[in-house]
Amino acid sequence: MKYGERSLPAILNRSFARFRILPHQEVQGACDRVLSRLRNEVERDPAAVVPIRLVAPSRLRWRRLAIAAAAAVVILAVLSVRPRTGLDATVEMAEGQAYRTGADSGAMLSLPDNSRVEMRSQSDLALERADDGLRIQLSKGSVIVNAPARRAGQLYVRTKDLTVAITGTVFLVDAEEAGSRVAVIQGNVRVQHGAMETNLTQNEQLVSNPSMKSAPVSEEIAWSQNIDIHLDQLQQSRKTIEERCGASDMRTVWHDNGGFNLRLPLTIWRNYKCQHERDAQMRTKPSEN
Amino acid sequence: MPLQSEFEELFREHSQMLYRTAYSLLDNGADAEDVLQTIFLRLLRGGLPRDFERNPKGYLYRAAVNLSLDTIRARKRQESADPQRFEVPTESIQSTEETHGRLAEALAELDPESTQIIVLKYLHSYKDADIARILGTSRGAIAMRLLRSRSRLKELMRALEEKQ
Repeated sequence: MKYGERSLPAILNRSFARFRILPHQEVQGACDRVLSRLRNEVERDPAAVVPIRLVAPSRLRWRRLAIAAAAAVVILAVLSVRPRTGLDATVEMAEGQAYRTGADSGAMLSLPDNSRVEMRSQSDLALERADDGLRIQLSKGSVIVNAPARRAGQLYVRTKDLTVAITGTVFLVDAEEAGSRVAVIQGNVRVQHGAMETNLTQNEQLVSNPSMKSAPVSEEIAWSQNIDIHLDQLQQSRKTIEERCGASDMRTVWHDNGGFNLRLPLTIWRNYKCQHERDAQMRTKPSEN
Repeated sequence: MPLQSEFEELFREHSQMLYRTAYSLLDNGADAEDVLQTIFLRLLRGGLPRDFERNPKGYLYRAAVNLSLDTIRARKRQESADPQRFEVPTESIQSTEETHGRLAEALAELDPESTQIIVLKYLHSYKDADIARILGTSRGAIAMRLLRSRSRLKELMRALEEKQ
């Protein structure tokens, strides 16, 4: 058996499955036996027993209730101006609406063209109309967009310093204080940063500020509820790249036309062996903007 | 002297989850009972530690995983001291039990926090946010830890497979 990214969750699930269905009587019987032995232990040596007091002071409970009530007031205030979101249900996005996730909850949103947008906790975005389609304005936090191949209209994700134009693809956009990050899980995106524009393909990522650190794409998306699916997609992407360009050789490349080690605004982690092929494509294909 | 009612209440509330946790790692009911007994005997004789008061479920769950991992490591030491006793059949059949044995061995090599997360996720089917609550950390930290643990676990299982 091979323990790939794909098979390990399945092995873990299968391996633990038979313990999940342990008969209740068997478990209860075992616990009763242990409890009986503990009782005997107390009978045998009562002096060795330290009395316990379970901590459930009512004062602490009231304080927690007061904090929860205060939090609820704040949440209600937010929900009154923003649609409610939750990961268990997919929320249909509406043009002109803003969406915000809380400190410990993500959300899954959908667009009319079946694109899915997974929001990380503590993220803020709005859906706006663009000249030729729709635009997700991400002001804070992270999203993973899963967009089918587009038949009509464009879809963009815009942060404060860059715009990502989407074709059929799965990718992450992260809006941080220091700048923005785009990481492609599957397919391609076109990223515009000021006057510069570059294509980014699967497994590659880009940051708009060279001081931003980068981890592998798999780690950048670890917060997703669909991490297993995305790891699968990344693995398929890696295979595709390796078939085309040979073994993966991801390196840091400062912006394409700047050459190496020039501190230009975009920093790209890309497959070095594929770079020349892509550059040639870029030269022959005029910009669509 | 009877067992204190608070103590019995505590035992009844958590014992089944702890037993299932220990059983899933040890694949042996008697050993799982020993783990359960050890956890509560310690509380009986030593009182409730500060960690327990902050997060009883998290404390007890951690204790169950850590004691189970100790038992797996002890078994392994015994196995290497007396290899004949645990001889593996030459025609090894890849069964679920066999895979689980290897998985348990690999989990014992992982750091305990990673094993705690994996068992909560794959045995008890908790969501990342619930795991974060039980272990007293953030959902993001759990997701990151889970990703790294699976990667490490994969390496460990491959190594164990090659060794056998």
